Amino acid sequence: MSPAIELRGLRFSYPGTANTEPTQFGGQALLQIESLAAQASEIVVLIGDNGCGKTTLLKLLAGLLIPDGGLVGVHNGPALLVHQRPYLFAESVYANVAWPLRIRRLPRNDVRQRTLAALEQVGLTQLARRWAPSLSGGEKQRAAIARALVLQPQVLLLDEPTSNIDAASIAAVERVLRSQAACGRSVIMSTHNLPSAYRLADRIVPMKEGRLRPVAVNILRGWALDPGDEHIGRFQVCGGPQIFCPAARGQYTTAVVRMDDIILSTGATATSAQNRLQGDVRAVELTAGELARVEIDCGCRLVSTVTHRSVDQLRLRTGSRLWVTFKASAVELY
Amino acid sequence: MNLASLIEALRLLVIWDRELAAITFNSLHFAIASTLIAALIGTPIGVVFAFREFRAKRTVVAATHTLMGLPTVVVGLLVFSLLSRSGPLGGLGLMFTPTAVIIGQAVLALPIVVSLVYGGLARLDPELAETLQTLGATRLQRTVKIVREGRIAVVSAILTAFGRVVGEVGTAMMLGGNVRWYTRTITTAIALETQKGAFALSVALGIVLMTVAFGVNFGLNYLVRFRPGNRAI
Repeated sequence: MSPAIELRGLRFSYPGTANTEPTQFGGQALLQIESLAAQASEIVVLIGDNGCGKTTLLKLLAGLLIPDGGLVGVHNGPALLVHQRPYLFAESVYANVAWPLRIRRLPRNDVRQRTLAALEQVGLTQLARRWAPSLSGGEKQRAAIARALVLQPQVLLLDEPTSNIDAASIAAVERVLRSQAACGRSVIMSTHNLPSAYRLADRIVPMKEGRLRPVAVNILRGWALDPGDEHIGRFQVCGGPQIFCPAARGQYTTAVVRMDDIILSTGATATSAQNRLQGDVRAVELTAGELARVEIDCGCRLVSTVTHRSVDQLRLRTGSRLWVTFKASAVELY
Repeated sequence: MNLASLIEALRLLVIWDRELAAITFNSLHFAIASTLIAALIGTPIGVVFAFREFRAKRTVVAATHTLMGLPTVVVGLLVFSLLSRSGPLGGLGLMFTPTAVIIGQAVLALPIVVSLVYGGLARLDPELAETLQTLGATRLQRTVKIVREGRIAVVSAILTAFGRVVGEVGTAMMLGGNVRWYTRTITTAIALETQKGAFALSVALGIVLMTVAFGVNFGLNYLVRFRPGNRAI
């Protein structure tokens, strides 16, 4: 299946800054990305420090910036960007959402139907007549998403959609994004809000100094089981094993385990760690530097980062049988 | 000036004297026409200054700001040199006609419109332009929307320019020649009538001019607080 959006060999620097060091990014330096793609229905989340190039990358994907080199391809429709602080026109919410259709001179009935449908998708039907600049941060974000949705984009790009809004609004925005992905849209968003990133992402893409970095965490979908009175809880991985985690009550749907918290061993050694799973090595990727990434199938897919020396000592090969160990406290629930 | 002049001035206003009406009409006609011309040319230039980067932008903007304070007689002289018989446009025979006054006042109003539109729009959220681009608006649609979003700044700029030209005397006098029933404006008439010692008409015209100035100021104040109500869906 061809991706909804992809880029290859992308290079970009702001005019007059081509020779600046990537470390001096600050919105002014080089962006260099070998490849990135998002499939239909996939939510890709860009994470990274301020100035690492997330916003610039989104603007390149949206066609607001022209790359110095490389290819940005959007298939089957536009890719629309919703800004971090979306600009809403000084008119009603309805007029804001209808505007992209009105400038395309669509029949009045079509405009009305599509506008109301978009407002319904983001849960703002009740606020259609409200003066848009008076909305709260979360409502503005949803109104801006609706204004993009009326154009029925294949790809929705969002710059920090959950920053500077309250918890209830974050949940509302996350619901909207999940439902859009479920409708077949690709969603690419940037965020500093890691809980939100972990809850939403089908794929996390870390960025640093204008480059993509390998992801450092395992994200497991499932549900937390009621811990009763115990100090330790359990998390049921979708289609996989139960793992031990800190006791927590609530609607947790995501467990996150850092790759370097996972210990690999050839035998079932006795340790204080609660999680001990047996699995088969699916892949060993020797990355640049000292570390290797080992993918293990133990009822769910887990990736561990180990040194090249450990790969040799444990004789890790595809198909090797291994024990995977990590502490319950290494599991974070979102 | 004495009490009798004031009473006569009020009488002229109450009966809406024919000459008073003609002079007022001329003033408003010239000022509205020149302001409209300046607005039509100056607003898009202000939009370009606010949202486009180009070489020497700083210099051009600084020059435009400076031209806001252009003395009216200098503008009069400049346009006079173009329109007089020996000037490059002398063949058009426009000197001492309403058209000449309108051209001069439009030149006077243009830097005011450009500078104030630029200043107002430059303060708009920088993400507005990108938002319009990402939503697929054409260049014309973007310009119209930007002007709409910055409408208070744009209308304020136009009203300020109107206030300046309606009260100026230099260009109207030099280019219009203060011809009775033809190019005489409120300001040129006040200058003339006062010199003649005919204070009544001067005072009456002064009251009209002040009323216009107050009207423009009230309009500006209203605009600053203006927020349209919800429209039907």
